[in-house]
Amino acid sequence: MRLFQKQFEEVKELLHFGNYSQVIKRVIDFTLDTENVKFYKATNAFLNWYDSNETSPQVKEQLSVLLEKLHEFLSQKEQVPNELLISVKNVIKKYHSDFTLGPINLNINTGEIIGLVGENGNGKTTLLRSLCKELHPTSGDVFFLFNYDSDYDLRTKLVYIPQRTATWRGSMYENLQFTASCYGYKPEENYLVVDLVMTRLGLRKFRSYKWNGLSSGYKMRFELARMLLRKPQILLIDEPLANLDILAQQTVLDDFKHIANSPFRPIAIVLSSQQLYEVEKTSSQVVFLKNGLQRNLTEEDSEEKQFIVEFETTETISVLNEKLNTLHLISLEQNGGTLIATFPNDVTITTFMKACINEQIELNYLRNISNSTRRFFVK
Amino acid sequence: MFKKIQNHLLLKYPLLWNTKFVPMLVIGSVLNIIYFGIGYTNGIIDFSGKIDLDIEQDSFLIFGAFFNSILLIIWLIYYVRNNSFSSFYTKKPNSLFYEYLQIFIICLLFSVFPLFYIIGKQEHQKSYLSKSELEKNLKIISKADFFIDGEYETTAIDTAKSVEHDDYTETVNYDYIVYNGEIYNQYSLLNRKTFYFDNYTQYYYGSDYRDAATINNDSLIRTYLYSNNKTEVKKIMSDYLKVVHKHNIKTNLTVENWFKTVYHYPKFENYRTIRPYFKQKETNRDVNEYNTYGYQYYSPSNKEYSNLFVDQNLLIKNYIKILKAYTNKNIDKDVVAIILFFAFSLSLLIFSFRVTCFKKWLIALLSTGFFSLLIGLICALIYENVQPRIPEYYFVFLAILLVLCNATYLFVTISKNTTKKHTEISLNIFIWSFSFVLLAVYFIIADFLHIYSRDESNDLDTVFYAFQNNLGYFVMVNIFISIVFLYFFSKTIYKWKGISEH
Repeated sequence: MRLFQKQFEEVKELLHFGNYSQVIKRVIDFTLDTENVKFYKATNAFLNWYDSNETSPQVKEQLSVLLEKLHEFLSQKEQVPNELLISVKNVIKKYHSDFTLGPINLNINTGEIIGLVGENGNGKTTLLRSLCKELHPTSGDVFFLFNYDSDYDLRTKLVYIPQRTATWRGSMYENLQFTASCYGYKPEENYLVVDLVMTRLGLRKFRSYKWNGLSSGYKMRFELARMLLRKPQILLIDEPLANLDILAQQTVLDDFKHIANSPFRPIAIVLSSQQLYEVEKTSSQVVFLKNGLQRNLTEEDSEEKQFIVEFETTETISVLNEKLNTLHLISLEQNGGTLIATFPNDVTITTFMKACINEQIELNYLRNISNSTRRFFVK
Repeated sequence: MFKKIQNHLLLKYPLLWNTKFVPMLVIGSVLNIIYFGIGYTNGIIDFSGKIDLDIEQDSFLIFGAFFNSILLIIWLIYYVRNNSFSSFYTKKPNSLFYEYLQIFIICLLFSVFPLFYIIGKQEHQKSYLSKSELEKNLKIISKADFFIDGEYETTAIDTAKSVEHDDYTETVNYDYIVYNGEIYNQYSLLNRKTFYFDNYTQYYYGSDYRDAATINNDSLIRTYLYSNNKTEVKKIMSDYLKVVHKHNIKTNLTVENWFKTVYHYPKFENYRTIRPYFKQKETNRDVNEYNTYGYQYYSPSNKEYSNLFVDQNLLIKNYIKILKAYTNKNIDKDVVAIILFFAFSLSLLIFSFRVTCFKKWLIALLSTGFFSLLIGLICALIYENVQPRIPEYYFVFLAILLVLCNATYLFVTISKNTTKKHTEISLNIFIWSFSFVLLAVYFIIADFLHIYSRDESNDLDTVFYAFQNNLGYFVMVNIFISIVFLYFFSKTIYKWKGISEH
């Protein structure tokens, strides 16, 4: 099944269960994929109507009609296959006298989300800045495998959002219109696209807001809106989840996933974050950085052939050592409020849980981190 | 209206929207029209002497500069809100140059207001008299002053009575003159002079109006007096009174009473001077202006005015205004060059700020200021203390060398295409200084010619003065060349921007 068809079926299911907010987001994604003013207008007309008819029983029908029209149009459109965008080969960056990033080896494809994780000061931002060409590698190469006319042109395609973004002056809406205009959106489609992107990122109510009146989370969303208007090849975002609540984090990551994985306009997203669990759920690749050195979760050589579990219990370590010995416990360490137990690789989560039940170990929290970068943090 | 235009530009021409070019063009043009209008109003010439609208020109221009500066600051606040170049928005290499041109035009529009003010003023002043009428009347007024309160010709030095001191000679003049073999008292009417309007064209404003404005009529009138040509003298008086009556200048002169008061053939001694101002105005400050216009350095100590008067001071004052308006020397090439140079310099400051960032711009500004001061001081010390004196153009060579060093660092770093290093500072300095090179070469050549023309008698002196007199033109040509250079250099800036920061 084509990627678009699969996504379309997912949206239809969402519509069936009345999850309109999610359906609207996906409808906007599809609308932007059409790159057609007729659809921009139709979706905007629906959104304007929806503003004052949110609870109307006609919402489902209207969305259904719109979705079918989009399906009909996009079914005819050629999908863009994912391809290699950036290849990083043995990049080393000596940034300050006492810090060296790398060597880094990384391939970044369209449609992918790559999560950079690691403690503060371990090179996440340095890697992001190297990828957007803000930093020149001390050695090694970054190959940009897409067309560009000049270094300036290349940098227009590598959109980087730092953790602390610069203040926007003037009206938010005008700023977005300016970006759209600079990126070649025609006058008749400019405000339509801006409206769609704003709605897509939940900014519809904030059109008339000033920068200082926005929370950090919404400032990040406005930055994302501006980024999307720039038709980037790759988005590089430093700590996009830092100022978001837990629900918003999940929403933004879902948004990233859908934006990156567009069947017609796929892009790559590289983001750094401390939110390990959330990033791992969404990312295609996770790069863990410790003292500037890279450890890839998905790389064969980075796989530790051990079963590692993180858990919380009221039992003491000595009691646990005794009780878990039946599973040939290799180590048991306390890490903050949680315990990290390492077992041979033949132990599974099921056998561990069975052992806990048999030994009547009361668990408050449990997570298998064998395949998570979490294990890099605790080791 | 602006909002509608701006919205249209935002959607279609984002660069024009960003620079706020259209509103600034409209505001600038309207302001210049207003300045023209104020100048025109201020160009009123009142021959009744009751109205004096003459706003102090310097104060007005300071006010205009202050007001325009505030508008430019407001513009900058709006302009710097968005910077597509710094944000790496997609851009064509030429768009940087178009942005610069817009900055330059805005700066020029807001710097050129003194010209509009002066042109407005002059246009109004010129509207009072046609050029031919002015020329004719200037000659009449100049001649008539001979019979009103004209200055006396200095008599020859009496070498027998002059005393030689150690360091100076105390000169004594004869108290008489000899004209065509006849002796006349030094304060005889025959020793009077006509009014020299030349002094207001030649001395202050060059010599191109010399022939038209005043021809030295002194000898001509002396011939009339010597030959007792009453008809010509009366004609001068009659012509003058026509001018006076035309402008409703206050007077109680008629040809008859005037002639009778001043014309005493053959020695022209027992005449009385016509009071050159209106009596009621005696306490008015304006009356004292006569000294400015009349050159009363040499006059009898017991000079007495008759009861006859004519407000000659006012007439001359107003005619000088009109004369200045026609000579148009307030707007010569140097003034235009200064204004253009100011607008050009300001536009470069703004442009360099746009293509780099405030922090680096400020560092560049402070370091340029500091090092210029330091090097200037060192050069001044060397110049004053080293013998034989080093020619001034050596120091200009040094300045060129510094500019070239900075340029070398900038271009070598760009060609390496690795990191920007300190080129953000260097780029700022280069943008400010590249236009200086040609100007410096001009100064070196001028200074070289000056030194050579002093040392040897040759034609270099003429070339030196040609160089000196055409500096204004050269500044204008240099600005044009610099702008053309910027067209090419903006592509280098575009390339430079793509280089990694660190």
